Amino acid sequence: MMIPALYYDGRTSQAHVAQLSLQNTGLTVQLEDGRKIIWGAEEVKFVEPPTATTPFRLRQGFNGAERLVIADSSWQKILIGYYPLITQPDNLWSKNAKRLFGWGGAAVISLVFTVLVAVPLIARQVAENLPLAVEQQIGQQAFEHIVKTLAFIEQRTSENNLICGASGTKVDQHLAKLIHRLLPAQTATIKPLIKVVDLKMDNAFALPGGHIVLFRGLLEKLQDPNELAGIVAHELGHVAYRHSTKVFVEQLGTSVLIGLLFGDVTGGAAVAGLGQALLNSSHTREAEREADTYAIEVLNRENISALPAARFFQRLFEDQGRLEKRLSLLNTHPMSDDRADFFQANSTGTSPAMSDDAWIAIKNICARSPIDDFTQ
Amino acid sequence: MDKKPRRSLVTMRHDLEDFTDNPRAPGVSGTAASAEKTAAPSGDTAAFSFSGKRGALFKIALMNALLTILTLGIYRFWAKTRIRRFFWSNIRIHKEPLEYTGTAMELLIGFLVVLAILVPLFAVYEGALFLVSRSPDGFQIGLQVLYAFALLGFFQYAFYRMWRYRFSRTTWRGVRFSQAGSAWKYMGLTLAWLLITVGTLGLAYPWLRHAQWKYRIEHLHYGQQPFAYGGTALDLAKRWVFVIVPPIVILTIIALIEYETLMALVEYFPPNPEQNFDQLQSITGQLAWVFATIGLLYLTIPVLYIWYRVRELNFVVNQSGLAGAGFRARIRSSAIIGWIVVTGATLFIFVGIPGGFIALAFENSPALQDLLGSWSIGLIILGFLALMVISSVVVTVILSNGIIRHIFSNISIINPAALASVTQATATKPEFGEGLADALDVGAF
Repeated sequence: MMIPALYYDGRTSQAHVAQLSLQNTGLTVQLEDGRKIIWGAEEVKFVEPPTATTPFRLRQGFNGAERLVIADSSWQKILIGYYPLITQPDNLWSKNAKRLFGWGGAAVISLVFTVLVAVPLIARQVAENLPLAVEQQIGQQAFEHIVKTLAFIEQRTSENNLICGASGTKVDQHLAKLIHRLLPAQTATIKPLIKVVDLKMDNAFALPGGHIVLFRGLLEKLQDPNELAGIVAHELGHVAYRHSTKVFVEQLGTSVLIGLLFGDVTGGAAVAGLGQALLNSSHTREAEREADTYAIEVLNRENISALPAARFFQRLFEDQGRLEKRLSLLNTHPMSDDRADFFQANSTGTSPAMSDDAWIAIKNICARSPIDDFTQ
Repeated sequence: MDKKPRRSLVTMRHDLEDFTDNPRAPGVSGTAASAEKTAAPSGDTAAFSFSGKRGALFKIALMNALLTILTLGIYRFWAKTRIRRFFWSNIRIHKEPLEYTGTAMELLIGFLVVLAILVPLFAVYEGALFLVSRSPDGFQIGLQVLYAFALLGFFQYAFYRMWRYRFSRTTWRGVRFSQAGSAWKYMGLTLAWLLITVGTLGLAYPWLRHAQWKYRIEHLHYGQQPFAYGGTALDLAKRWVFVIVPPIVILTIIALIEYETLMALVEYFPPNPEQNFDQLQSITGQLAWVFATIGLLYLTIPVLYIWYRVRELNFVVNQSGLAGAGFRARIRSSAIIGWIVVTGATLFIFVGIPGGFIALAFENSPALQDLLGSWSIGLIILGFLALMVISSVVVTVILSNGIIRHIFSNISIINPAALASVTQATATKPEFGEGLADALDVGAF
């Protein structure tokens, strides 16, 4: 039998009218000028998987440039009958195994190096040099995202009414005064700010740009103003050392890398996931120790007793079961008696952190009177 | 072999001639049967055509989207290859389809190369650049601009490499295309003209486009035969005038009419507490029509720009030649804009509305959250993934398919006989895929 076809020899774009004859040993291309070309049986391959579309095409092996074009797709079946290997695809995995392993290995090494060495190193440098305005902006966005997410978990729908204590009120001034006392000795740059959020979780954390976030649930657990002072001093330590900013920049770098892996370098997913990443990240042991050391130093400087804070950490430690649910930024690994012991051993202060009036006002910061609701 | 098609030699030859306009290229002696049709005289034209079926593309696009999500993106190299094979093999030039010979493996290895070499370099570069930019304040802006330019240049480089790879994997009549030239030079000329374009507030844009097209086309080869380009920047400028002049004129007129009110607005900012708010209100009230006009301009500029780009494409195709053959394009911007609008509307109906509904349902309904409990987060993620699949399929099947179909149904070749005996290229082709372009997300498919 003869199959009418067009033959392209792969050397020029010229079409040759041809007749194909099929043998079990191979395929013979008979050209009009008398030339004969023979393809081996195992070399005959479909260019595209067989379909009903016309014309269809054949190639010689996987690397050859020659092509046969056959107008009538009903020949496909007959060709498959003659050459069972015709539909078998090229085994690209085994052909490229060396390259895949070589470059794949290099890629893994390079990624591990980048994530474990380069990104933390760079993140530290970047965080320490980030303009304050940028840091505050990042902190504000992270704050909004975290409050929104946590409000969702607690099924609180309105985010606007979750912030306790309007700026300029008396209680706000009490908090500002506390912060002011606990600031490092020489600092002109950071202006930390306490935000109390009306959610029931017992937690606190520091965000980039000096936002210190306290939850109502934590305030309710506190029994003494010096417990609050201890927590705020610890978080101010994170602020002073820019721990949160470092965590954030590191997360940013890692997110971009992950985006690259998954084919999303527009960064959409990476940026969208950042707030979440920050929520799930935690400080290193070293960072916690730095924050604790800072806290003791400023508390001693201000003659504020750290013993109540030590007792509070002890209570938290005994309450370990609930620690799992605590936010990672505060969920400190050495939340053990280590910290309580450290505070107890090094405290030299003797006085309370604030007046009783101030303490009562802060404790009740989230309690709304009907008049408050009206004026807001 | 009983079922073999039984047809006369004459009808078979007609079949052949159906998909090969000119089977008897010079030098091939004809038979009696083929002599019935006379060889196409020079000056004849032959059309491009697109034979893709939406149903077939839909199946490919759906499988691609599902598998890409299931494999966390790794399948994208196979997905891209399948889509390209579909489009390439359905573009018929003079009835003979293009063939895409690239493989997913090449794209995967190209990606691994980028990961291995570029990722650490990029991380260090980013960090170093940031630290340098921190030191003296004066340098900062300059370095920022430099950084933006470097990034843009990188994109241009990746873009050129991407097309080099794609052309090297494209054959027609068994002869492959190739994009010669240097990606660095292309980057250089683009950045130089971009600088001038920014400096002239967009007036030099046609010169930028001309330089890019000329370099790309004159370095494009079919076999050993280079393409030629005969257009000038002035030709493009004539078309660009219609985009750039109306907004400038309108904005100038606005500025002249409302000069005093605008100055009052400028003086108002930055606002300080002493200024009264009523003053701002009266200013903005007076400028309402100005804001409306600018808003309207904002909406028309994308349309005008697409209109320009289509006219540019038609012109560029018409000015291109290959081995004595020419091209004629009649692509309509209305069709392109039409497909964009249809795609937008479809996305709105099938992605925007369900997405908004899901978000609202969870935002406002604690009851629903109670009911679903811990499943609610899972359901939101599932819904989000489903919407991703839908939008990917819609964009491929409606937008890409619509635009490619329209473009390749509206181009024809003048004197196609000239393409009958072009010799194969001997130059080596790039070994790996377009890793950099993939990493930078250049190119739609």
